[in-house]
Amino acid sequence: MTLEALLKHPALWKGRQQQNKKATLSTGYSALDAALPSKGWPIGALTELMVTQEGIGELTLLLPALHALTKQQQWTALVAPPHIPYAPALLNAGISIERMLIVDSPNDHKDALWATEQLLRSGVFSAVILWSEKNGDDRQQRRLQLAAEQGNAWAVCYRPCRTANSASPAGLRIVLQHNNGLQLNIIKNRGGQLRHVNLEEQEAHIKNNTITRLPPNNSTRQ
Amino acid sequence: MKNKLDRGHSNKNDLGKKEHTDKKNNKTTTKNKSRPENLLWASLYLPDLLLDTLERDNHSNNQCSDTNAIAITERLHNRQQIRSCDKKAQQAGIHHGMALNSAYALLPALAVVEYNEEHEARLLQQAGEWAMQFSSVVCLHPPNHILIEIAGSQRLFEGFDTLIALIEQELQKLGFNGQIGIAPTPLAANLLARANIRRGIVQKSRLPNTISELPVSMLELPADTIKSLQRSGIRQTGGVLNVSPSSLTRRFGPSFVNYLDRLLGNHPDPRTPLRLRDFFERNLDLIPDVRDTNALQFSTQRMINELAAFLIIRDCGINQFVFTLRHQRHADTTLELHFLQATSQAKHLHKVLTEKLSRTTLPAPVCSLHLIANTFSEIERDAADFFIKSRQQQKSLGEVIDTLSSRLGKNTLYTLSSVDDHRPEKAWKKSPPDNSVEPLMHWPERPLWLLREPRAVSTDLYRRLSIESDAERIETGWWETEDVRRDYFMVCDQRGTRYWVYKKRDDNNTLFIHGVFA
Repeated sequence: MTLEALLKHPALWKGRQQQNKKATLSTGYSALDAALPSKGWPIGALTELMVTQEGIGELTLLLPALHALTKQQQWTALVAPPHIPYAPALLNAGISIERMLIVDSPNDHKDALWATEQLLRSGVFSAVILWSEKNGDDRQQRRLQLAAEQGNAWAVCYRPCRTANSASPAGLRIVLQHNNGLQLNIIKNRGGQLRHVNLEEQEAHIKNNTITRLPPNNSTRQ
Repeated sequence: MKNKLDRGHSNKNDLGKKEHTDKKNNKTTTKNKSRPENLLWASLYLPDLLLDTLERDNHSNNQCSDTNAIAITERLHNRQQIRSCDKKAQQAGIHHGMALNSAYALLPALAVVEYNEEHEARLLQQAGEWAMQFSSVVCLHPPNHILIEIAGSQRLFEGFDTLIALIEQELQKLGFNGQIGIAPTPLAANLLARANIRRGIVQKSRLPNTISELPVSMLELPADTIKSLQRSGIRQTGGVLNVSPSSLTRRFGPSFVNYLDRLLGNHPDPRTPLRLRDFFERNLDLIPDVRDTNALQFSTQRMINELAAFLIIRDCGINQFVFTLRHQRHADTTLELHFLQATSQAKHLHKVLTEKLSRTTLPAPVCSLHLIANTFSEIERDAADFFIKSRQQQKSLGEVIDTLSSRLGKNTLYTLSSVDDHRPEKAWKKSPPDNSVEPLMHWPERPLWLLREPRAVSTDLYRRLSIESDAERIETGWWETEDVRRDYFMVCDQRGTRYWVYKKRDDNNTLFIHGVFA
């Protein structure tokens, strides 16, 4: 293995100037892009999202990136979504839903993990999003992280909020909470700094206007 | 071996000369297109297909050396006797013609299978299909000869030596014991194969010389004819050839002389070439019964390899096949395997089958396996993209989806599509993953999550909600059984969650959550 190959290894921590040359996947929100070392979602690594409360914009957060991927005819997958991913809303967000595979796994959490791993490793899918209702352990997350590295894919895992305090091999970990809009609390950021990003006044940074805006500030609309 | 091959070399020269003279003949009689002179038959003698198959299937199955000895029995004059047996049984002293009871006395653990003509015919058919890789003209000569016309294949395989060596090598891979004979007539080729004379004969005129020393018992004649020949002192074929045909006819009937004429090429001996069947079927008997699906690996691999070879010969792929596990005293376990894209790759087929098997619990020990495939389709070969090298694709989309659906079930994998229906729960549907493009439609603001079942709002939650939008009246489908008349609102929980809720028009009191703006 050459030094160059070693330096490219996603497990290697090189400081802030690190992943600049890598292909980036913009999050669609300039404040969030600025906070991340790769100026976008980390490719070939696991992103963990811990949501304090359902329905605060946790999936909307990913829509700009999913929109960009499906528009390039890349395949994406949702594994074990907690509810029906609603086609009209996804279409409104400009997502090519024919490029989005849904994997239901009603019975077995292990099946969902296995499927996610297979999808990530295959190299066919650019983004795989898993909803993990169980706490899961360090080993499970490591497997996902490795699979994401191998397939050079963007892996996202929604985990219960209580797992925020346990260690994880994921490259990026964000706690999502509602605070007059969506507040992102980055608790692990490989190659970058930890900070809070408030998306309250951030416009979705997208050329296509059909994208759903983030939740407006409800306090003004009583 | 070397010596024998050298002899084969001289054959090749012989054939070269032959072709040369034929060309001259063709010049004089150009219109005569039938060229029976050119035919050259390689006969493959497979003396015991049944035993070979059983031995092959079961010895690879049980990796440990402690396998049962196998014997084939037949019923003769109301007595069960040994027809043939494998080496292990032979070492124990079992031989052809021995009574079954005596054989059991020598070797109590002997596994016994009764001879079945139909089964053997099926195996011969399979072997014939296998032989079609060497020549386009392959004929079956039951019960245990396969005739391969090789003059036409000679150039393709760069000469006889290579071709014969290849046939022998492939035969060994298949696990069959066989002998090859080469002659210009089918019956002479059979005779040479039985006598295991590897020196091929190309010219008919040299036939009588070569076969004259062979015992008459090797001729394909009725057993009593052979006995009466031997009684009259004729023990070698040469002796038969010296007797005048008219006296042979008087003694043994016209079929005898007809046989000799066809053997020597004086009479034509037309054969019907084997046609490839349009379905693939394999059966594999297990000795002893298998209780664990893991132990089936070797057997399934072999069946899948044969399936893949079959598909490659036809240049097609399959979308589905049916795999059946048969049990001794229980209904069959049937597995249906589906593939998103037609495939002919043994590796992928086997992976999906193994995945399915590992998820199957056996109700009883398995005594035989059966595989049938009868719908074939063209393989889609998509050109590799030279420009997009962003990620290394190790697999195709179809392979990934097949792997997943073999474990999770077919209905758990889908893509979404929208339906032009005002009722929210009917505005989407599942579709099989393919590359069809979904037309862009524009909808009023809709939630990303739709609840599988609408949920009534509890009084506790009700107090925290504030309405964010005007009512959207959805009233449609009254002519169908499901009458929907609802007013939809976007509401917001103080804690930040935004819901999509509705009131039924005829029931103003209850609020239902139908979606979540995630």
